[in-house]
Amino acid sequence: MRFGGKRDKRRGRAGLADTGTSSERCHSLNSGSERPPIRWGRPLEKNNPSTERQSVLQREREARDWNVRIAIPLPANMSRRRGDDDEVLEPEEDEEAVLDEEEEEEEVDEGKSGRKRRRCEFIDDVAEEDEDEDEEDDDFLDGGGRRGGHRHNRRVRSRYIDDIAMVDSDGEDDEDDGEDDFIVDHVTDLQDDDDSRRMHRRPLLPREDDLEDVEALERSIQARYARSSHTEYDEETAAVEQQAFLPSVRDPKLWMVKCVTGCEREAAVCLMQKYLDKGSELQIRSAIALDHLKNYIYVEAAKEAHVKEACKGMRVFHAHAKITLVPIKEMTDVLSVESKAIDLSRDTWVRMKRGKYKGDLARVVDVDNVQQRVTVKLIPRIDLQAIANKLEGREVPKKNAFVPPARFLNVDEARGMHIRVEHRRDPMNGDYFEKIDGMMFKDGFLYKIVSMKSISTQNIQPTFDELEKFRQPGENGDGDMASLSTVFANRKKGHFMKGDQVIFVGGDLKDLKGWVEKVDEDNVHIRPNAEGLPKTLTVNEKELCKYFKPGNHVKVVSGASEGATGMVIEVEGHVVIIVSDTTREPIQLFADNVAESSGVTSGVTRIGGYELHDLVMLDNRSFGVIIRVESEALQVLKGVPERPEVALVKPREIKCKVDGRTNAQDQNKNPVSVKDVVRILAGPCKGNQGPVQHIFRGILFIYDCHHREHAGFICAKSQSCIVLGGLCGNANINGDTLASTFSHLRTPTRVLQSPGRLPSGAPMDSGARHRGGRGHDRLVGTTVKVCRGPYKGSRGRVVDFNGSSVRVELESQMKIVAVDRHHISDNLVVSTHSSVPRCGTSSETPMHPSRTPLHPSMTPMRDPGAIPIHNGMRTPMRDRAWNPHTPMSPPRSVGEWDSWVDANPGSWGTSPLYQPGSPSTTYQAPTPGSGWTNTPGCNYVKAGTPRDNSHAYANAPSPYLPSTPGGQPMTPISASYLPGTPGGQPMTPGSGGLDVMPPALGGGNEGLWALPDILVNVSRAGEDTVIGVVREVLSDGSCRINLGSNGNGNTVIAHPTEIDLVVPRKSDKVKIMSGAQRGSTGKLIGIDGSDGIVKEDATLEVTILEMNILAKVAQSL
Amino acid sequence: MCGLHTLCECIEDLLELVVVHLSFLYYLYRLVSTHPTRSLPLHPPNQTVSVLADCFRELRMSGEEEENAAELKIGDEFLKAKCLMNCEVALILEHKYEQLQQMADDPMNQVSQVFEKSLQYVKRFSRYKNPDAVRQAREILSRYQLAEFELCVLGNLCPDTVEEAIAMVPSMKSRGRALDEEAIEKMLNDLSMIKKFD
Amino acid sequence: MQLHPRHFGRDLREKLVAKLMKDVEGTCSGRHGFVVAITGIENVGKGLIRDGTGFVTFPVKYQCVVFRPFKGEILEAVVTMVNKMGFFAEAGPVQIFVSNHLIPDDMEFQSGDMPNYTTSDGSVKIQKESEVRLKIIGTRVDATEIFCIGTIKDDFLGVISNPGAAA
Repeated sequence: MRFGGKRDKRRGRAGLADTGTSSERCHSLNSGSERPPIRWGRPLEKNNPSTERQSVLQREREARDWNVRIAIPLPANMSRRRGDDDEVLEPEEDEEAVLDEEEEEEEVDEGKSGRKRRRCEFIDDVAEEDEDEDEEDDDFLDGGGRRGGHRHNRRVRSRYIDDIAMVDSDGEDDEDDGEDDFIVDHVTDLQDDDDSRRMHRRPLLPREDDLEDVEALERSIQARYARSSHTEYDEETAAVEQQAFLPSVRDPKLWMVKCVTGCEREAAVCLMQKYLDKGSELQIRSAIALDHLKNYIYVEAAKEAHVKEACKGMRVFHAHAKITLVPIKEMTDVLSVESKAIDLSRDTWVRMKRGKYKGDLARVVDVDNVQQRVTVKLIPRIDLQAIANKLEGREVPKKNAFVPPARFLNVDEARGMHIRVEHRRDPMNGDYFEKIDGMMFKDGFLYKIVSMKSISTQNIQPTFDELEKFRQPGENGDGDMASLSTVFANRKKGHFMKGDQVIFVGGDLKDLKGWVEKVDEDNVHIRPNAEGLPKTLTVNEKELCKYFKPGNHVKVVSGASEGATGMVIEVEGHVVIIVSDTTREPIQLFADNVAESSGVTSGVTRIGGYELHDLVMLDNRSFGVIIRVESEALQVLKGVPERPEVALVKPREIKCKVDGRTNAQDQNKNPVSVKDVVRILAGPCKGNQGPVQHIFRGILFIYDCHHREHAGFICAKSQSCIVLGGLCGNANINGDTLASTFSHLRTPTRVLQSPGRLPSGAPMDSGARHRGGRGHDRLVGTTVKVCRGPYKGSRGRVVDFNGSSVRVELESQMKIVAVDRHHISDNLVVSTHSSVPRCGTSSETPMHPSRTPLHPSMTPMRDPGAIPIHNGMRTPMRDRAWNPHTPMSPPRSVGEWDSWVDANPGSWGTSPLYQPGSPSTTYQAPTPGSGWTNTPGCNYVKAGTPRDNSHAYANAPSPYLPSTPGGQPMTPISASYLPGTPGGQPMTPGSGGLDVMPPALGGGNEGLWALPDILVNVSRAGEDTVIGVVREVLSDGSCRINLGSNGNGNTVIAHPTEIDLVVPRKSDKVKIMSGAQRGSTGKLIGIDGSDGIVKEDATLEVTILEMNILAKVAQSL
Repeated sequence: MCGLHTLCECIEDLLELVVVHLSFLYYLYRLVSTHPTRSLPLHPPNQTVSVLADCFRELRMSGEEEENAAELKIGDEFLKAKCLMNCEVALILEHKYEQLQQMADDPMNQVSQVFEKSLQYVKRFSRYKNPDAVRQAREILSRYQLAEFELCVLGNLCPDTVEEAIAMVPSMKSRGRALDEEAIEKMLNDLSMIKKFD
Repeated sequence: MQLHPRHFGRDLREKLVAKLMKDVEGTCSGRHGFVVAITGIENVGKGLIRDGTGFVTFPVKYQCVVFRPFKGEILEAVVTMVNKMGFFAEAGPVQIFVSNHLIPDDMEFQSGDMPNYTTSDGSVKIQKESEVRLKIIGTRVDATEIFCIGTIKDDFLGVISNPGAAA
């Protein structure tokens, strides 16, 4: 007892305490008095000791006042600190003895047996009252009175002195007086206060006769750290009272002082020493070093100058150390402690705090409290190759900047790399371990012994993914309970809220469901969902778990995918599976981490410097696209074309962000650049298509919004893709004899611009009258901007058109919406989409300024994916820029047309510069030297003059025409170039028609691209016209035809010029040969002049189409 | 707009047949719309229903409301509204569609995406094609004290067995009605008869 | 329903109705679901002239066909897309997602040209264009669409017909 007391006292005096207790101390100090001050410490009084006793007292006081608080003593330096204490305190032991005597004397003086303490207290009070008549101070002192109630000896007494000292300090100007007052007895005054004080002030000593819980706790802390807390928290103190103890403006302020890194403690101790040396010259009241705060210590003082003064000349402070004031509100935070340390036990989840496993989840396997060491089990992050190299004595590369990804160790793999694997039995528990290079492994896990310091145990919230990883195939279930219990232990306060639906997971009421009515501390009031039970039940929240039903719409409130919303699709115990609203991918979560919600959010899209859909480098070999961002990790679709490979990585595992804007070549050696739309021809995602988002090392990352996995991203080799809008192959086209045959015919330009889309609102038949299908079809594939209605301002690609509405695939949201035809703006060419202009096109801009305005019109052709590429050209494409060209849209004669087609594809495929979309004016632009002319096979370039000789384009001059590039076919060979069908440009590259389309169809006739199954009249020279059924369309445009109306006759091959469509009659089955519906079948339900009314089979939609694009379908089908 | 008038007549016809209500929910629903501002016209029902909505919200607070068609918890207004079977909707929509076709020269009268999709859907999943059959089906079903909603689910799905019917419409059993298995079986038999003669 | 003064005249009512149809049909609201078609106008109330604009607001009472899926409802739908996470189906304007958790366990995902879910004996197959009977377990309604989660993991739910058979 005695010893303990002494020890304690020493602690108190030395003021060395850990933060764990220091906050308590603050509390107790606070609780001990009603005045607001923090009893952080006090200025030292300059007392000139007049008597020996006084001097002793003073010294003691000084020492005590110096509450040098050092945060969280760690086991490792315990001994050292103890040593420090001893050094400092040694002399005090004597003093204490003296004090004892003194007290006794006093006691005698007072004539109050067993109440020496009281006396001190009185002294305190006196001092205080005299000095600054502050009521609060009274109370503060009163706090000390309580101790008087306990039979405490010197210890207590010294405590009072401490108090006194503090009180003194409150009056800043009273330092001189303090000493004198100190000795004066005012017994009477104090008596009254005594009881009330007792209420507040609690004993300092842990070894009280009447031990209270807190004291027990204190003792345990003491046992652990061999230190005692200075004072304790008074349970009886209500929160309101505590409020009053918060620091106020009248209290000394707390300053943050920068010091040399690593010398925080030293700084605090030095200040204490300085104080001891210099006495009350130093006007600071305390110095605090916190372990978790590097580079700074806190100093309590009334003025900044005092702090400066104190720090002056000390090695550990920089000459002009920065001193910042801690705002009053934050003062308490400085010394508050998160919570009591919890005992680590087996199976607790912890996180590593340092090293390459930093942040990783680990599970405690064994705890050695004596050595303060913990054995944890981790998923190893080791580079076997590096180990192999090391073991074989080869050069070990310098430390890698990035951390190898976590994965289970495969012993066989290690053996395969000639790494020696020892099989050892652990002497302690008899388990077998694999030992590699000094590391212990078992079941693929790494077992690591770490210091308790290097793990964090607080608020560990393992994510579902992490736990899932930990759950090895063989150990299903058994780990669950343990892991869940720790998960629950770490639940945040206020976890349940009124109205939450919950289910009992433990206790007698297991599986009972109910609703939360009210939540107190740990108890939750539940209204059970069952008959025969009381209206409300009060249960411990540990027995509860949030409950969701499939179909609930929830929001993730914590964990990796925090912020996301989705619908619950399955509930398995504590685990719920939800389908995210944005990605429509399932996410597994703990029920605890979600809350019901009705909103829709996407969650985070950015972490560190990486954003969703960035291309990143993982290590030297692998790279990928970020397809999902969670709060602490990223999902990356790796650049492995063979199969979709997704890795979950942490930001630090990423080496860097890559700008994937290189170029590649597709299967046909066409250049592929970012934003080009490609179709995948091989691999697992064959058939998908979409714009290229990144190109890196010959690998394309394609975004296909119809691809539901991996956020729509597909990874493919560039060689296994083709660029849409490019041509089926350069070689093929260049070598095309037809091309050369016709090349002498100069076509000014292609037809694209001329019969442009109809102006909005114009009746569709006005333009389409002559030839071609519905003008609206041209809209399909274009990028439009919605200018009215709920989607106002958004852009998207037109995917379908019907009646007065168009279906627009919004760029910003992955969905297709119906928009009124009149609500979209025509100049849709404008696009914000491409952040980097395509190389080809952008480079030419400066060369051909005159073309610029026209340029955008090409975009949709080349890039039917609705992502115009020319953002550089946006501005000029206004109507003003357009209109001048409109009338000129060069009509072309049939013959020319062919030549164009033939000549063009080559250039098309090879260079985006030669997009045929530019109207003739372009070529007249005085830029003869431009790259334009270099193009081989680009015949139309020279034909500058537009011709107006074609009646087919009579409707062209509509001012809106030029602005409708989108409707234009993307493939030069497509039927759109046929004079007969200027309007309905059928070929969307995605339609699949590309491959079968013959490059050209015989000019001059009204023929359309043949499609299988239609009836045709074959009229060959010298033969009668025979009816037949087209069976197959060959690549050169000719058709394999089975003669006979049912297609049961001979098979012939006919050139397109030799075939003619059979005009369907009413209620015949027809096939649409042109326009967006090309290839679809329907029934001709009526004929109106040159228009046919067709009811499509697929959509049941009734449309009006030009008769000449309708072909009768063979009967047999 | 003559088309519209005819349409109304058509609806009345159907109502006479005790038409209407399909489980997957086409409702004939009366709405009053007032549109004080331009932005509102898109959601005509909002104002009229706000009172109801409030009640509903209150229910929600209690945590028990939970829409659940299996227990016939589909909200008051829908319980009161006529529920139409797919085939009935198909009739209505087709009728309307034809009307619109006749005025097809005006593209503004083209139908919405929703309309089109709904039409396709109901046509694909209509059990009874001709109007007489539809009429009979409703008649049969309406003999059995079914809620509108239940009636339509049965009419849409045409279960073959009693068990199936109960699985499809659990509320038939749970509500403690005088609907025994025999009755259900008879009902199903009658329904299948119509189908045969359809 | 607001109407511009220029429409005033003898056919005001018609104009009003046309506008109503245009504005309302095809929209979707959380409470009522999709407004598929307006079937009748019950009455048109007295117009209220808006200050400053000349527009007149009419209260219009109308009948319409609405389409709204309910939780717990069983309905039939056409499969539109199949992937390893489940499949999407459409019932009219409504999209329904059936997660693979909600597909019976004995059905396995088969990738390929025509991804599908097939039972181990191959007797039942869910692929694009299949007609399935499913139960709605959750709905999410936003301004323009209704998205549902469905299940086929229950008695009497599942494929009704396959495209091959249906054709």
